[in-house]
Amino acid sequence: MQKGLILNLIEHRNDSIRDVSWETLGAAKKLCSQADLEMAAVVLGYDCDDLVTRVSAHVNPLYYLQSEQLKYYICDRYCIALETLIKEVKPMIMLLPHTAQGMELGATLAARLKIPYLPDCIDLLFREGYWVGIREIFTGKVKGEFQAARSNTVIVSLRPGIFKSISQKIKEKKILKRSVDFKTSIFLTEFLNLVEPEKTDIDITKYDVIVSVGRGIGDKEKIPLFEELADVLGGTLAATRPVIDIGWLPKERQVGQSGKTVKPKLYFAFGISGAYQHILGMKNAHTIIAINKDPRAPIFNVADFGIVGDIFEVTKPLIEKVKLRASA
Amino acid sequence: MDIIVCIRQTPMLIDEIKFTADEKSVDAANLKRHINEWDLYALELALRIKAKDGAKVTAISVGDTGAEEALYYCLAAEADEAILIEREEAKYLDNWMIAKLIYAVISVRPYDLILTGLQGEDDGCAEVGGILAQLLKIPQSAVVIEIKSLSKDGSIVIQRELEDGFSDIRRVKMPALLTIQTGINQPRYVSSMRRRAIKTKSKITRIPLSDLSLDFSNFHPRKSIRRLILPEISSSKLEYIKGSTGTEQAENLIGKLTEKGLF
Repeated sequence: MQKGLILNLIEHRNDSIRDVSWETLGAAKKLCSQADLEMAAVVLGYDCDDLVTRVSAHVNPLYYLQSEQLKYYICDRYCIALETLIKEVKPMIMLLPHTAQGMELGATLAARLKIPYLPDCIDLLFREGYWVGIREIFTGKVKGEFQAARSNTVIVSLRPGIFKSISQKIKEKKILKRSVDFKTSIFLTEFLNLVEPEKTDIDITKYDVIVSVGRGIGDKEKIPLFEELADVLGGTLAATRPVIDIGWLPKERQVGQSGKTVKPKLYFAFGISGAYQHILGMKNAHTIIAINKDPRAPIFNVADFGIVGDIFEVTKPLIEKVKLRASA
Repeated sequence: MDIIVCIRQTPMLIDEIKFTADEKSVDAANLKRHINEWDLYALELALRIKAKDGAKVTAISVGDTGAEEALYYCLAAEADEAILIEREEAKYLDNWMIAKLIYAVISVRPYDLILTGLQGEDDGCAEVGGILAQLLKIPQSAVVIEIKSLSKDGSIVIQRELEDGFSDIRRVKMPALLTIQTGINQPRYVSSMRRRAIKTKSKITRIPLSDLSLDFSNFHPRKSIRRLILPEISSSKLEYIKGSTGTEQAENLIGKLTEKGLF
């Protein structure tokens, strides 16, 4: 009997492969070592042979769907191209990263093919004949085992930053080039341009100490207190996305997946529950100190030091004691 | 122009978490509900387009507990119509089934733009928009952070958030579905007085499932929950800082950081 296939979609932007694609390949490799599965990958693009060669060092076979229409990621074009390939190679699992691209594509492709979709998984298991995705719900306070209905193919998107990137290289490369027929397609979405990150006045990534606040601070009026702590520590103030969205601090101070990735020596997290989008931006800080009244806040999973308690009762004396030390 | 906003009353955890006996859902006593945060931004976007260019704004919700509250909120915020798709509370519906119900209602109505939140605060699946667009055979764009222009020739230019500060700009032919990211605007404040007053002034259009032209014989979830797990904090490096008061905790923290040469 033919082995089940895991087909990996490689995400790329601006002529480079996105890190998260090495992670999904790593996850696929791990699944193959645990069960009787094989892996393959697919790159959609135009004139991106270098990129294809890099991927082909790790996975065999690699399908390269080439068309001028695939120069940039656009959901409907990707769907047309991938539908044809999926019908041909019949993967058990179509694996993609849960990114801005993946969350658009995964849901649409699954609906188009009328097959199950397990989004944003942090693990994938095969149990009693079903594919089961482990997902975090309620911002990580609960985990759920989500079971896909029986289907020849299941689409699974994996959360970035969870799986180890693939490192193993393979001996034999195999690139299978395919052209895609778009002749009868009507395109309703047109890519105009990619916008680079804005240059900002302050660069929080340059600081050794970051005092970061989440919505748990409760009120804009509390910002100056944490600003003072950042000042006395010689650091700067940062925040989670909800604090930025609500308008308490400007976007340039946002740490996380859609903001900045920081690696300071000390990272203080005040009233931050620890949504994964935030954790992606700060987990590589040298030392993380989390202060939160909720002992179950997922931020404690990445912290070196944890204080379960009232953030204001800790912050005020902390400022005084740091000042005292500075003057000593 | 007709804008449809899909909204949802989302359950949120309150302090203690208990599961139902079958471990497939969180005990209702441990949940409170409010309008899904992402959907509030979608609603605000629709209302701003209405104010600027003129539009009829219709809010639609599939009847979870409290969906009526969410729909009255939309009316109080100046949506023109609110539609409740009545469902059997006990029956498990996955996102595909929910999208299919919304599809059945929308497909027989006029629409130029369908807006909804990027994802639910509870399950974070971010999939109802994509499924709905596919069922309606219209283009969708996810993670929208700005409407650049809305032109009379029926196209819309939008900006989408990507990762690491990047974004991209697209032109999409309408009718189209957009899923909205938080922060695209500042949703308006709707006073509780206004929300109470609207209940005597306006009515919600109720659509029972039996009114939908859907084939329910093949209406099964494509995914389901096997069980829920309460994760413990698990970290080999985490060290808790003790102290019975904030002052003690602050002192002990400084002591610890100094001891480790970090301060």
